[in-house]
Amino acid sequence: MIRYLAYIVLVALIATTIILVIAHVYRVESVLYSKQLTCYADAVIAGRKNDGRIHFLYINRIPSYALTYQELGGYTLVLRVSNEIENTRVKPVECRVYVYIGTESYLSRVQGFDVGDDIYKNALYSIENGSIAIASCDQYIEISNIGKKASGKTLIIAYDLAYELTIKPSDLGMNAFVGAPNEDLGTIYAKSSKYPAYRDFLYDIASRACRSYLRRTDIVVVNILAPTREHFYRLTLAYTVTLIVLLIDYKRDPDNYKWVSKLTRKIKNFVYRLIG
Amino acid sequence: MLSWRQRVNNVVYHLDYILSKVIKPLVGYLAFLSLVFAGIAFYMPAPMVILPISMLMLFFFPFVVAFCIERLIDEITSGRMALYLVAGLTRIQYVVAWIIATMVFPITGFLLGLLIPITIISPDMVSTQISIPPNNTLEMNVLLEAIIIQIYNNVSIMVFIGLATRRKGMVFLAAVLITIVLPIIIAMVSSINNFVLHALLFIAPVYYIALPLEFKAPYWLANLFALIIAIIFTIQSIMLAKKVLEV
Repeated sequence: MIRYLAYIVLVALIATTIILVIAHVYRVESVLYSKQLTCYADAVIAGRKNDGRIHFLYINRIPSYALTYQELGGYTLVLRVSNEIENTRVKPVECRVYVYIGTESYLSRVQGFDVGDDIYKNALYSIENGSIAIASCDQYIEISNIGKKASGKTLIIAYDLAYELTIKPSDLGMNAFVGAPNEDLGTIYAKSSKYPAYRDFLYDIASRACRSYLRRTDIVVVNILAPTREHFYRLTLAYTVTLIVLLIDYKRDPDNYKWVSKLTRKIKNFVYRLIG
Repeated sequence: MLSWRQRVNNVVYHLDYILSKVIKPLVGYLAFLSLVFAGIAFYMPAPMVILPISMLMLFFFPFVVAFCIERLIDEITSGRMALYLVAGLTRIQYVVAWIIATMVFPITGFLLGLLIPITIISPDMVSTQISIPPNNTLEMNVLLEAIIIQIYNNVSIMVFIGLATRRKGMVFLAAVLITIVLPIIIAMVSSINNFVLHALLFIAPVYYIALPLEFKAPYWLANLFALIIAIIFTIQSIMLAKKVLEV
């Protein structure tokens, strides 16, 4: 029975590996071929170092499951950025981000509170604390309200990208504001021929945000999705444990593993035939 | 008199034999399940997709288990089980091996196939909030509980029906009834009387939890109710199997 359970675990691990590899390749392709990515979870952080230059780094997995409807209005998310993250040589940074997500109608229905007020109030609070307010606003008026108050003080990242494309920041009394993708990104991005590739696009909005606001705020966050080393560490550990279990079982009764040699032989034959 | 260790070994040997016969469809299904949930965990942390996809995967599982139950019925009707009983297996060992093969193993496999990708890609997803349209929410771990109990419930009913009728077709018919026909009938009748939706507690706690109802039993009660039904059917199945083997 243990053997069959190990098989199931192995199959689950292979499936997970396939998804992670696809995600990894897909991310690269998105840069090269301008393919659309569904991005919710990870983030590009842009920050200015002491030398005055802007650096970009990825952080893995803003817990997007934290961005659920239950945790609206004041969920505090502490992002820790470590040196382990690929493509980075910058020092670890820590920032406090206030996250709001959901449309006004949805929020008022589920949560029963006035979203506009709440976002407004919390945005002000985060502005006062020198951190970033991330607002998910489907209502022009909400962005507008926050924008006016935030002007020159902080950065608003609106989750609805439509505003990034349709509303001029100057309308809100701001130099610029940044849109981070949500579920609607696909349609909006497809419409936009402005950006050659998704990551370039992220860099672009992050760098514009930096140029405008980094003097006063430390960090800009833009979402992106990509597998990280942590995923692969966990995967390797799980593979190791499963293979050890299978190895112990093999030592006990090698007859049960005849299929492995059969499979190897078939693969060998196939490869030989392929090579000719 | 055999020692406990020998008895357990007997069960394990027979269980290994049964699993070697039924493992392929199960592994195939679980591979697909893992792939889907790895995809969800990575690409779609949006909580609204988890429930419908879980329900879809749950929908096919009884048919996979029906293949295992079919083997049991095949053994009984063809008389091959007499061969095993002659070969040193007691009736209870034979029944226990089959109960593990048809109930415990598939459920454990389902749980592993679902939890492993989630644990590797996004462990916190287990406690994530899933949105239930129009305006309800549910924790992922509660949904997992309901899924496991629903599987156990459905499989125990199918095993019982299979043993009672000793016809393979009846097992598949039971799978169709439990997963498709009955929930649809209940949903249709509920348009006349909303109270009828509570009948889902007997076979489908997940559907019950997911449905928007004004007055609904709490999740733990829904799960407990379905679990009790499953335990009743399991005990009945064991009694029935022992009786069948006496003949």
